[in-house]
Amino acid sequence: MTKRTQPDRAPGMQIGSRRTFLAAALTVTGLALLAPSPASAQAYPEPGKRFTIIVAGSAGSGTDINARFVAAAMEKEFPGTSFQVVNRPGAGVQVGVQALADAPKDGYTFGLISLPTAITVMLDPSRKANFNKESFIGIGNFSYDAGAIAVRADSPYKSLGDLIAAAKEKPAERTVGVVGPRGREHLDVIAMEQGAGVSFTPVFHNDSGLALNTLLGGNIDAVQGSVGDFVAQVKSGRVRILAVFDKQESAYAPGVPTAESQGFKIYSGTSRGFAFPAGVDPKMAARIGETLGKIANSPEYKSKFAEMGLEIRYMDAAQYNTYWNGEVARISSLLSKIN
Amino acid sequence: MTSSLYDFIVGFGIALTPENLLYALIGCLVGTLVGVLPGIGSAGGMVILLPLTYKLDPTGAIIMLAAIFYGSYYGGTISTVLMSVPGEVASVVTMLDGTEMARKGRAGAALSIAAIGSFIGGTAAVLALVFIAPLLTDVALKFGPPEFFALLFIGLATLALLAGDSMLRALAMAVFGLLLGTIGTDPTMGTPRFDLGFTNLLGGLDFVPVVMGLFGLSEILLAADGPPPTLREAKLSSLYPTKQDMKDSAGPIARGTVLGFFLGLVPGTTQALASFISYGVEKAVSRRPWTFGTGAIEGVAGPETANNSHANAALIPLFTLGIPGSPSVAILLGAFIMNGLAPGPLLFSEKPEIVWPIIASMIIGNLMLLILNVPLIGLWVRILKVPLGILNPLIILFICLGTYLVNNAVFDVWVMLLFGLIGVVLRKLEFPLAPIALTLIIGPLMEGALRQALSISRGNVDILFRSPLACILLICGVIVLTVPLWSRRARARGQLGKDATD
Repeated sequence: MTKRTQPDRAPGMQIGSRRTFLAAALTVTGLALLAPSPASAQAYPEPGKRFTIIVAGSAGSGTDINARFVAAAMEKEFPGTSFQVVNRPGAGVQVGVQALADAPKDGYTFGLISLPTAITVMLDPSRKANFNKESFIGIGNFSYDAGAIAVRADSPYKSLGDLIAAAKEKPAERTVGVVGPRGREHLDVIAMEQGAGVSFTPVFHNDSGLALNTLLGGNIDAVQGSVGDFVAQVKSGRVRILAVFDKQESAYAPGVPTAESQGFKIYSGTSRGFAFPAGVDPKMAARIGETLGKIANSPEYKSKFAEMGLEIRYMDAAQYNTYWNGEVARISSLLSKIN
Repeated sequence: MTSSLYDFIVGFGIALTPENLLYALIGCLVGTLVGVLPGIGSAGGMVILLPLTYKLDPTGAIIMLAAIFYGSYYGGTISTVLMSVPGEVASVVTMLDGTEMARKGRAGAALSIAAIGSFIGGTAAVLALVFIAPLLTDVALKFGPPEFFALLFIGLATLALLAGDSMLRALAMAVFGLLLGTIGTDPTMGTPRFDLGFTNLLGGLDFVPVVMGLFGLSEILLAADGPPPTLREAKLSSLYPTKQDMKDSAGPIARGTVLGFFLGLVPGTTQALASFISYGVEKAVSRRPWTFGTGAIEGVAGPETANNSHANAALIPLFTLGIPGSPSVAILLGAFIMNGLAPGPLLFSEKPEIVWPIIASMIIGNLMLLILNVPLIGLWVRILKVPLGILNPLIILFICLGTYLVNNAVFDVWVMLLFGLIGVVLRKLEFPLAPIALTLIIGPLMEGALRQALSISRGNVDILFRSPLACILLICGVIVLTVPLWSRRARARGQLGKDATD
């Protein structure tokens, strides 16, 4: 029957008659039902259901772009379902992460988690966050934007060592633009200060774009951000990245040495992973987690990732959990030293 | 430059293909609609259609989103003038004279002049983007924290011009706005400040719920209580501006274009700031400043031009530096990235086949908006004939919806309702509301800039006066501050007094 109605669908849609549309819709649903379902979760996700992906950031932000990409790819993986991104910006990521913790536990709402940003919120007592790591079931990490420090192209500082030496010479005179106090970028600067026994003056901005603007205008010495923040400026020759805070060089900043190779063992970056609120059936979480891995590793999307400037770093649930614990330890140690 | 002209013409060819024209038209219509609906701004409209960008081709998708963006500033005027509810936060200052014009039966003239000004401001900014964008990039970079602070000082100084009859009342409201702006998180220490225990307040009070409550909801609540507003009884005179109107508006439109344009180049400024400063400038240079607030067409023409010029100019730092200057532009940036186009200096050389059609379509889109808006004014003004019993509940519905959509948070709707009540009380006590909006925009920005500057100088206040640009801007601010003194003197010299209507 499905076969018979299929060819009729396209002309019927063009005429726009309601009845043919209904028939077509039923056909699509029928096809989805007939599709072989995996043994792990037969009825999940149910066709026709709508998923909600909570994003703790505004539309158009880095987190949002990751979530919207995954939403579109998930819709392809689960025909008949839809994945809707809901932006819940506010208070850094606190409003959105709280919303995820409080979300319905029926398996149809999950969210994007940015680490270590979410961890700094959890660990900061003045923010009175009502959630912790146990409030979530991490299903895996998707992408990673490694930390990086950049100066203007005409800056006298050619390496991380130059900048550190300048800071040593004149304590607290070298200025580094960062986003928000005690954010990841600020904590990176603190890690450098502690590692090298120097001090910088952090200059806080509302977002990385504005920090870059201050740098390009020559008002500050450096900006601590992520590789992705600087790629376009590096290409145009306005900015030079001094170091990437990762185990290896970044594909998006070829030739830029790691901080480690310059003597600073600091590894930091912004990860974008996904999590369900605790209380969701672990089988459901695992099912979406597997699919996330499939999307991240699919050769189909490889060129798309490169176009969007995304560094894919898939971690399965177990690896993600280990990484998350490691970040909690790293961030608590940094925070404990500044208070 | 010649090659960019060539690319631009080729881009025009692509922008003029039927499907791209259709995308631009859809964007303009949606933009006008979200602009008209109170509370739903350009950002709200763009987010709703953002998922479509995966399904359309990149050029068409971005043409459409950009059209929503600049189109919304046309639509914002309509509800501001006809319903006394700001359609966009950038239109708040238009209420001062736009609503008064409507009360005098000149709603049509107000809307026409706003559409014409928007067209001129918007198109001029796009043309500048085409021909001189690389030269302008460095202008944006001249604004470091001290210069930004000085620029905001001018904005704050326009307060002196918004004061109306009682400077004391205006200052009280300005301080109220500044205090509201301190709610949130300390920008340097990172500690919560006056958050009253609400997580939602940690990021600060959002501008939209406050403005929609103070200006939108309170107007409706008062209408339910007070005598029927004269607005609706006024006989509608001609729908279109008179020759005198055009003459009076030429200067404001020209100045609004330039002002909005330069502010748009500076990342971090907003359309609302541009329209406030434009209003201040117009009142300062006017030979009849006392007509402002009673339906002066200059008070509509200037700000409405400035906010469109700003909107389009704000795309220059996006295209040339990859830096989005405002939340709406950030959404556009996201759309670019999702389509594999990272905005930045190389976009023009790497993807000319996509960038130039988008820019060309902005000229076409602005023309479409002018054509859509001017003849439709006759239709829009019929809103005035809709019974209040039907219109007002609808407006409240849309205000709630728009407020909710900003952050998808019910909390914001409560904030809006609270400020609606505050607005009623303040209006009953005859406090001017515009100063609250002005200082609520400027306060947090100014605090951020000041603290950045002082971090850089390690506490030396002289950083604020070191650069010539900052000094010039500060002097401009002082001049604006003193305007009321000499305009009052002019009045004392026996020229026309202020209308006795208030």
